[in-house]
Amino acid sequence: MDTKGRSPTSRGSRWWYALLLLPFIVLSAVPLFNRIEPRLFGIPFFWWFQLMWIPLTACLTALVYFMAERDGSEGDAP
Amino acid sequence: MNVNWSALIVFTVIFVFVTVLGFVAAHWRRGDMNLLHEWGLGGSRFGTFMTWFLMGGDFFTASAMVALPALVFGAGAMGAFGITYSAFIFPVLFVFAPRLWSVARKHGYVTAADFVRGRYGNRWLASAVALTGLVATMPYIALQLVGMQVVIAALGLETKGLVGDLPLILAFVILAGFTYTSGLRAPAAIAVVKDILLYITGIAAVVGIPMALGGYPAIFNHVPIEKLTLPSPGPGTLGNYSIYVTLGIGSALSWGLYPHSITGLLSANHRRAIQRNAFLLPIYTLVIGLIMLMGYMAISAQVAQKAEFEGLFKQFGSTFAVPALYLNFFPSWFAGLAFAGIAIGALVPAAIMSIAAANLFSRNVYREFCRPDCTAQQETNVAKWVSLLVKFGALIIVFVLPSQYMVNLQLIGSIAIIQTLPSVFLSLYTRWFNPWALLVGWACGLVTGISMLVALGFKSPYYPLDIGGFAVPGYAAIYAFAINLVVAVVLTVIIKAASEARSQDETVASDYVV
Repeated sequence: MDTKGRSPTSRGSRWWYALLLLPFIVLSAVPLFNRIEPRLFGIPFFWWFQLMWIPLTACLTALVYFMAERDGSEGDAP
Repeated sequence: MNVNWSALIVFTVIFVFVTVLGFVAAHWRRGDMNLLHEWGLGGSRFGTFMTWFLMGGDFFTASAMVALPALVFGAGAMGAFGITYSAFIFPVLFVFAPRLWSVARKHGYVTAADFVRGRYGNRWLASAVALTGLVATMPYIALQLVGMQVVIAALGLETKGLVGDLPLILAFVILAGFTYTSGLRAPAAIAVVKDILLYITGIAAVVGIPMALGGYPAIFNHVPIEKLTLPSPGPGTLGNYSIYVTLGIGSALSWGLYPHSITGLLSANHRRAIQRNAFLLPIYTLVIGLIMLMGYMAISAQVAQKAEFEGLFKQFGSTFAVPALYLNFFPSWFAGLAFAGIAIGALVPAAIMSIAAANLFSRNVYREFCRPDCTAQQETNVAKWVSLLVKFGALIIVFVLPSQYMVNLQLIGSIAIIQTLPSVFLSLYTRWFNPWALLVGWACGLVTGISMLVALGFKSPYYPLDIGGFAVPGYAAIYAFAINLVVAVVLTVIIKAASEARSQDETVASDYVV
């Protein structure tokens, strides 16, 4: 029985879904960015670094979507 | 009280326009409003563009507009969890939502509890999921109404006493009226207006206010340095670091499980609309992130020390920071525009939430337990009435409970909703779990979470977990969820070892992917 609920057709490797873990790993490493310097336009590092991860996460998600679409899996999650 | 007439006039004109729009929306992409699927999901006709507005309406709410900057204003860097939370939401959405959409489309599911019912054939587990959603939603609606109360006060209207309750009651009647007649189409149409307003006024604030204050460097130079970053944890504890991370992850996971989020995503017309929104919606969140910096602007501009705002800060605390900034830095009519945006930013999610709760009750309680043979029209009528009841309940909460209790109710709501994660999200991937094990896990998670809150005297949701003498303070929702998962896994293993019986799954693997 197919307990994973996957489509029966094989779609090869889908390693790129691991990219979606990147924001969780980076933003969980609080000591990495819990600092004021370097500032950007006067905004402390703590703030601009995390703000930057909103568009970065969006780009990663878009990348996964288009990779999956090219792969013919309609962007379905693994 | 000095009524701010020009702000009030702008506010009223927009509010009247939105009211008309809400009622007219019933005719938009017309469907048979006697069907729950049409009333409660807009017939699942929303494409990528409208889904963007609708799901943005779930996220970009009055409480986000007002409460997140208020947190930055009051607590400093801890408020930035709103940014990590927003970044985490979208991968979560991308991975789980399309599968839920597909299986719901195939089997006509309207709620998450419908899916659980279909996946495991267990009505008790399904009703546990439904009741959790109902209970978690009501304080959330109440919180939106509080957001609205703050801007009503900012317009200079009295918000105390019986007369003070009138504007909120009026707004509630309008909300109830258009939700009843137009269903999900109303908040979808109104969300467009709300977004335009919030974009204009939000961008004006993050550009205009710093110009008046001498630029971002000057703003941050005026903020006490300890408010800019998280305090380093002392020896033997992870301190604020673990709180920060668990709060971000916990909030993102619960957001995806809230009934109104699920209603938003199930109303999409194609799974691609959801997937695309997983990377288009962050355009919203980036603006929210910038709006959060308004908390620092309020510190820098010292609005709380100004005589004209003193009383309102006393009444509403730091939630008055954003309205005070608009009143202080912009012409009255523009402040009226911003307040209209915030008030409509409360109406849209409140409407979606009440519809979502109504769908849950009507489909998973009324039809399941009271009238299994009811017609589609009866089911929809019950939903329409329940949407009124839920909003009325929220209104009563606002009037009866002091706002401090409301935040507590919301905390319990989030802790409760995350307990449905194994039954909903994990079950989208596997049917390995035993439904009774999931139900017991759910109960254990709830009891754990609430006991943690009780142990903390409801003062904070951060439980100081002790691991061999090392303190790991964290969001109680995450710890309660961990207990839930462990219980569900262990019990499933035991039950499977004891009996061969399998639960009945009406879904098949291919239902989840197209």
